[in-house]
Formats: sequence, structure tokens, C-alpha cells
Amino acid sequence: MNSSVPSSIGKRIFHFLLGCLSIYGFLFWISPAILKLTLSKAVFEQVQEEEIDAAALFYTDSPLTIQAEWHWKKHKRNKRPASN
Amino acid sequence: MPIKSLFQTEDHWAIWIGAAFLLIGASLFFAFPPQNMTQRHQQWEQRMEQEAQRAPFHTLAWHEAADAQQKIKGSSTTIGKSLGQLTAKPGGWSTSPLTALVLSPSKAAQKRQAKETTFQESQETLARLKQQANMAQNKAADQQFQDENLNAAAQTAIANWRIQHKKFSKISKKYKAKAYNKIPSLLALWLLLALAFGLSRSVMQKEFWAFLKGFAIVFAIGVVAYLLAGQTNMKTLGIGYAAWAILIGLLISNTIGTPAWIKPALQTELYIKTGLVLLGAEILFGKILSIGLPGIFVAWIVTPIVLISTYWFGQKVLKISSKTLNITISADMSVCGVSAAVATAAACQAKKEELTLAIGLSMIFTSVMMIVMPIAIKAMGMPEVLGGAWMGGTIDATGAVVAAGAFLGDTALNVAATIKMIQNILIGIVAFGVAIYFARQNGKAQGKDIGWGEIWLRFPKFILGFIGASILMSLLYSSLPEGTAYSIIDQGIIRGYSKNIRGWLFCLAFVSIGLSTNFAQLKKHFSGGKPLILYLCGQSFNLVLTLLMAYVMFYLVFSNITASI
Repeated sequence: MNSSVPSSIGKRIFHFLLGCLSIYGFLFWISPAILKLTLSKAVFEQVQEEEIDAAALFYTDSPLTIQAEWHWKKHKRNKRPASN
Repeated sequence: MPIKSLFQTEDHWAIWIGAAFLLIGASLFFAFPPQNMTQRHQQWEQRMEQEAQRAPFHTLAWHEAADAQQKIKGSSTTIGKSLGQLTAKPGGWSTSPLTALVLSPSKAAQKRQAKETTFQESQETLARLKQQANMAQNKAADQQFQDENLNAAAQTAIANWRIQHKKFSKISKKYKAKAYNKIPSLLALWLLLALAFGLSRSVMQKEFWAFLKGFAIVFAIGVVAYLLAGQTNMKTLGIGYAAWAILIGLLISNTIGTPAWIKPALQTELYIKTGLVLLGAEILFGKILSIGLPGIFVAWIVTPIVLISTYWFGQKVLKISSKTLNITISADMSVCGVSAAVATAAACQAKKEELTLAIGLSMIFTSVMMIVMPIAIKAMGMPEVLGGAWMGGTIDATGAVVAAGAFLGDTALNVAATIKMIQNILIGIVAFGVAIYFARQNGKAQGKDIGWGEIWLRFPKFILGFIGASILMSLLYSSLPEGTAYSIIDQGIIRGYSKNIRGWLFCLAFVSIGLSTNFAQLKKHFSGGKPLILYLCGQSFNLVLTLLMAYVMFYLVFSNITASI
């Protein structure tokens, strides 16, 4: 048993539930508050309504695809003859 | 070497399991390519060439051909879709996490209905802008594209159409919301991973059933971590699955305690090393290097200097007692966050708590830097290219680099992502170097001056799997025609399959770390706040040196390249 685990079962369950509550609070109370402070009102509302893809705002996917597409376009652009 | 010894260690199993996943994926994607892939690529290539000959700018037809070509993806075939569904993580959600797993036909219809007006408006705008672009282009064509003003007007009209096209694609995706149930595919993925890793445990420790029982819980926590990371606010704040996986694990192990029957499934090293072999396949040298010459100098000169200086600073000035903790933090801060920390920690055989600490520091500062840096760059009026290069070289996590780049603009995003990816190539090289260095150091600590034979014995063999996968995939990528490589490798094996599995394996590893770590051990490693000081000093040095190098490379040495970005 970990040395940091409380000894009585009641305490352990209490601490666990407290942790779960903290996660819940962070998800639904604290994080919206942080976002309200950092994003403009319009963007915040859009994020909340999933009107805009948050991943597109803060792109969380691997940049490999972006790079692939960018490289692809660049490659195509390079194939084009010079401007008249 | 007896064959049996190739199945007795985690390193070997990581290579076999990783290779098996890659082989299965490659066989399926190559055996079932998109219909008429080569002909379609050729057809669109020809179309683009014709259009390029005809006009001095990208015509409507050129863009349409490029769009059509980009849609030729291995992940869009029946097999590709099945593999994508099998390995997909839960989706996004806002208020009810269940919607990330199940979307009923009626809810899907509701979603479509809610988007109907927006969709139709967007469609109409797109059609109008396309018509305008077409008219402007025809006017320019009537003058044989010799009139500069008409050409410029056509280009502007086409650019407006492209912006709307991008917006419409996003809306269209939401409008086409279909009902789904991800639970069966999650169960199938659990079974697949359980069998692969259960087999290895069975051969190494004869504990197949014990592993299977515990693995159900580890996987379930992994699903919860992905669910939490998929919540809209968390996605916006950039708090990903790694943070949640460790946090939930820590919450359980430090409150109710990790039950003993789960412990056989806490195979942190095995999951991490297998994930790293798959990560190797994602790092395609040729493609990355062809993107940005100045970036190579920024990433490959600054990173090793910062890595070595930070490690030296930790040993000589801060006198951090654990060399493995020191090098893990140094690598995670100077190379690319979590992946580099994981690879380095595995290479030097760092303790789990040390890896947790390094990842924790990296995640906290990544979150701060991805918000503060773009704001600061904008406030200073720094050019996008320089700002992008600076962020790409300093922010740890690749996802955060792209997010921060997107704040500044498309150019910054592309430069930042390019530099980060060039830096990512260093993961394997750093892990390789660290493994050799620590093998020698450990030998010296035992009073032996060890030779290459002994180094080989102590060398973490999974690194060979990582580098081997990268080299093989890079060779395969460059040996294929570009269209095929794009459709099958980029948009098939990697994007539609191996990257997803790698994400799951890292997630399972982080759950295992959390479930087997206690705060008391973590606190011990944090003694005197030295890891924090190390990170702060190293990152400050990194910020100064990267900015300087980015300026020299992008504005003094390769200014012609910068002008064309």
C-alpha cells in the first residue's frame, strides 16, 4: 500500500470523492471561468455551443497532416511556371 | 543468439508488437488502396499542370484538382474506415460525455437540423463567391492573362472563394453528422491490445489471465482520460489525455489505493516502448527535411546545445542527485515534451516518478507558454515567421506549438510546426545518445570501464525499433510516387491507423504511471524545487538562444527563403 494512502476506508473514499468533485468543478466551473477571461465573448460562446471546433482554434492534432498538406500545396506551387 | 532470448524482454516485445501493428496496417493499406488511386492522381496532376501552364496564378480548376487529389486517402477506403473506427479515440463533447461515445439517429438528425440554416447560407455564399471568382478569372483569361489588374482581381476573388470553401468544409462536416456507437469498437480495441500485450506477458511472466483482468481497468481509465480530454473546454485549454491519464491514476492510487489485481497490467515500460516504435514510423526524414532548410539549423543546433547545457547546469550547479531525472527534464524541455521525456526516460532507465515529474513540469509550462508566447509576440510586433520559429523551437509539445502558431496566423503556424517536426527527428538521436552515455556511466559507477560489447548488452534495444521504423518508413515514403506515398502512408498507415494506436499506448502508459506512483515518492524527487529551477533556467536559455538563431537563420542567412514563405 502506498505510504500516501489514508489508512481508514472511510477517509480513502472521502478523499477519492473529493478528487472526483475537484475534477468536476474544474471541467464545468473553473475552466469556463478561465476561458471567459482569456477569450473574447463571441469566441467563448461559439466554443461553448461547439459552433467552432475548439481543436481548430487550438489545433491539438499532430502537425504532420498540416505539414503534409502544406508541403503538398508548396510542391504543387513550385511546379507552376514563373509568373508572366 | 538463441531465439528464445528475443522474446524474454520488454524491449524485444515492444519491437515485435510495434512491428506487427505496422506490418498489419501496411499490408492492409497497400492491399486495399483507394480505387484507381494512381490514375486519379495522374489525372489531377495533369489537370494542375495544364492550369499552371495556362495562367500565372492558381485558377479555380487548379484548386479543384488539388482538393480532389487531397481527398484520395487510404483512410477513406472501406478497410481504412474500419481501421480508423477500430483505433479511434472517443470524440468531443460539451455537456454530456455520453455523446462522445454514442450518438443516436434522432440526436444526429437534431444536430443536422440545427445546422441546416447555417449550412444552406454557407453553401449559397460559396456558390456566389465561386461565380464571382469564375467571372473574374474569365475576364483575365480573355486578355490571355496579360493584364496585371485583371489577374490581381481574379486572384483576390479566388482567395475569397477559398476562404469560404474552408469555412464551408467545416460546417458541412457538422451538417453531415451521422449516428454512431463507439462502444463496440472500443471493446474490439481492448481485445486486440489485451491479446497483443497479454501474449507478451504470458511468454515473459506466465500471467496471461492476471494481466487480462487488470488490463480491463487500465483501458477503462484510458477511455475516461480521453473522454475528459475531449471536453470542449479542455480541448480549448490544451489539457490533453496525458494529463488526465496521470491525474486519474494518481487520484486512485493515492486515495482508495491501486488494487493488487490490477498491478500485472501496469506495464508502463512495455506500452511506452511499443508506442515509441510506432512513433518512429511517423517521423519521415525526407519529407520533414525537404520542408525547411533554415528550420534545420534552428532545431538541430540550438536543441543539442540547450540539452547538454541544461544537463551540465543540473549536475554542476544545482547538483541534482538523480542524473536520470536531470537528463529526462533536460530532454523534455529542449526537444519536444512528452515524447522526448518518455523516450529519454526509457533510454536512461529513469524511475516512473521521475518521468511523471518531468511530464508534469512540461505540461504546466506548455500550457502557459502556448498562451503567453503568441500574446507577447503580437505585443512586440514580431514578424510571423520569426515568432513561429521562436515558438516552434521552444514550446515543448507539438500540439501546443501548432495551437500557439494558429494564434498568430497561417505562416506562423507552418513555420512553428515545421521547426517542431524537424526537432522531433532528434527524439531518436537523443534517446540513442543518452542510452549509450548512461550505459557507460552505469558501468563506470560499478567500477568497470565498459567496452562496446557491454554497452550493447546494456543498450535499450527498443530504440533500434524506433529508429528502424523511422528509417524503413522514410525509405518506403521516398521510394513511392508522391501521390501514392501521400494516400497510403501519410493519409493511411500513419494518419488513419498507427498514430491512433500510438496515442492509446501512451495513454495506457500514463494511466499505469499514475496508478503506480504515490505523492510521497514524487515529493522526494522534487526536493528543494531543483527540478523546477532546472526547467526554468533551461527554458530561459532556450528562449534566448532560439530567438537569436531564428533571427540569424531566417533574416540574415536564408532571407530569400523567408521572403518566399
